Amino acid sequence: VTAAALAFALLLGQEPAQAKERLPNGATVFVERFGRTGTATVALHARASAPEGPMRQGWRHLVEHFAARGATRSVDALLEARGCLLTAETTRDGMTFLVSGPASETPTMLRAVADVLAGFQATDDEVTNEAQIVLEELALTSSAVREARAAWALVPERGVEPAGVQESLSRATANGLQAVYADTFDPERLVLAVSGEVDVPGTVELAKAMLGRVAFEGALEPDPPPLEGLASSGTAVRVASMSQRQTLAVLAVGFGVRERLAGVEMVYTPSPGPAVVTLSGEGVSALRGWSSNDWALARQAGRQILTAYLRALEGSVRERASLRATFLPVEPAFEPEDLRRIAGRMTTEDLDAAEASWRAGAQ
Amino acid sequence: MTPLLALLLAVDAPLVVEAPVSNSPVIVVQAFVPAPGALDGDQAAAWFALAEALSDGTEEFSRDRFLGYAGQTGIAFEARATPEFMTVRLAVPSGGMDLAGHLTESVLRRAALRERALAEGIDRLRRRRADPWSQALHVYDLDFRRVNRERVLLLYRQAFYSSKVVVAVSGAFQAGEATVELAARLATVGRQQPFRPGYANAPRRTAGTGGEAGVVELSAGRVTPEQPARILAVFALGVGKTGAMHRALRNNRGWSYRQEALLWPTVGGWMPRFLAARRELPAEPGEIVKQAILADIETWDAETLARALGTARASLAGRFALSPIWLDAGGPDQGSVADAAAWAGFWAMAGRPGLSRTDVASLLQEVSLEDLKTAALGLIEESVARSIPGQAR
Repeated sequence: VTAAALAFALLLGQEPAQAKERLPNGATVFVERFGRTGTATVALHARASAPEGPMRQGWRHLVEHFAARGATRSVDALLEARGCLLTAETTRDGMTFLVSGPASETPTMLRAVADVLAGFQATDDEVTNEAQIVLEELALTSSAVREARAAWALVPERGVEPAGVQESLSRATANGLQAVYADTFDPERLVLAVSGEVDVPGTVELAKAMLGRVAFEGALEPDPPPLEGLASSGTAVRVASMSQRQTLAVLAVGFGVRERLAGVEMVYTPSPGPAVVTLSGEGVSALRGWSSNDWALARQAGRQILTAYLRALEGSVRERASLRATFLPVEPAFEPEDLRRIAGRMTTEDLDAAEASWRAGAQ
Repeated sequence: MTPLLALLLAVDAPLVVEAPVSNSPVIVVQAFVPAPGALDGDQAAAWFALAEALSDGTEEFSRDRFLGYAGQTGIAFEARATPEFMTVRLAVPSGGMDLAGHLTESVLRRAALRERALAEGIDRLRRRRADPWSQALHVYDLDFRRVNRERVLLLYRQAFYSSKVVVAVSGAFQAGEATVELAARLATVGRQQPFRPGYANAPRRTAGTGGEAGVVELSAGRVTPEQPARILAVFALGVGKTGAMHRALRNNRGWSYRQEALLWPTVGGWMPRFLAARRELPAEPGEIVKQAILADIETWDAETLARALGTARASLAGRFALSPIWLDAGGPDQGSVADAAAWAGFWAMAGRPGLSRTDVASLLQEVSLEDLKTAALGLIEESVARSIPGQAR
């Protein structure tokens, strides 16, 4: 729904269910009224300008840690006293901040996001300390996720693992992170998506006022990623956007394998770009001995599990906001419900190809 | 036997509790099944194996049928065990109370529990990998060598036919509809089983987290709704990024990336657990954590109280992503339709049927800053520490 459609709906006295607007500085605002749980989620997504390379590996992740506190460093105190919570994540697609809470606190959540966008402050000592915290974070990684990270070698053009490694994290400085911050929050690549029981026109106006003030400009020296992947491990399949039938077929068969084999985990983060799906764990080796019937049963179960997963995804206020913010810059017409519709159109050929990919990976 | 006759003759019917949610597109049933007494090592292993084998389906409904209902509702069929109790959850589309009743009866009375499903379940438990945090939270050192189908079937009959079972139902339905549907179906004549209440001492994980980070845990005595200051203290101590643990262990010391307090579900109510992860745990990490938190409590002021109340109210409303409230082993309460059943069933199992989220929130509202600090000091001082090491890389 464009700004003109929003105005038309208001003229007719109707409350629009959703609205999208591109601001003069290039940022995009999307608001949808969804659900009856009395909750809302504000998702700010800063799309990555370029794949991260080894020199600055993990620096965006470090910036995320500082930015999440806000320029005033009082974001958490502001939010939590009102029952809201901010979480943040850095992926190859970019940096995403999710603020969730009671729908009545949406203005407070937008204030918190405004603080995230109000500038970067840290000393070199603080950067060094935070790099240690990131290493503590990395130490909590499961073996399935570690293997999935290695499998991104199949998609070398998307850069290095964004969580970071000790060597590059220890090189980070306050000035260096300052430049990464300005590049990250260039308004041309910002999307703010709000889902929940919100007043759509009012929320759009608040979001526009807040996002319209952002005026950072990206001017980072290039840090090219390696041209080729170094090594991959586990059983991994390279996929395109999650909204592609073929990707959903890979997920369906993967879900089916996980359902039928003990000790197998699947890792995938929804993305509008090229990505990997991995199956890992002791049980994966059993795939080599699988019969056609085993694969057929996995496909059958996997389709059901995929449908359940997509239904849960589209029904969650938090997941919707996150999906919208991440997909909008790449697929402007994306709707969370599309995923289940697309999955419903999967063909036997799609599943054959997905099965063949997993079979090849298992050899 | 007619439903009416079954009801009249019932000596062992489980308690059915209802949590209607208007306009819900699904009906969720969650059964809470206490373990039949304190489980020793072999019984604990059989108990966890039973939960895994239940996912195989029943004499009438195959695993694929359950997957089909998951596809229609977005809610998977799940059986999850803690050493003290097990939960079984299923969902059907709205309007399907009859089907929900049939499925529930089938799972609670005629689970398939085939030899092959049991072997696969044990295989899954043996091969299960998790991140270090989940290892500390959920994983027990279980020895399956003496687990067999007879032992699992015996546990199933002892636990699932007990009058201690609570069946909670949420979704869109008329008041009384779920009770009528389920009570008659689940009434069992003359099958009363002895029940010995007691805390199960299933072997806690000690071997290591399997990852680089170790985890230190402080666990305190059970808290009840009659102790609102102790409940609120859990929020002030370890919930959100304004909690004392985050401030003392992450912001002030850079000691740990993740640290949280949980209200962990037990048969009698919530047990507070305080966990913190760190690479290379030092000697006596529990004491280090205790002292850091105790020092932080001294600094608490009116803002601490306000922030604790903010996170507590949001968590009790099911609107806080990092809620410390757990009602089963599946994850924190997020206020979903399924969680409505879990809340009602959990408190009925804990002997407080009808206790609502707003009841607890109202009690917390009356807590003063002094009471909060006293309760927090008490929780930390009484807590028992244990740690699970990580593995250096």
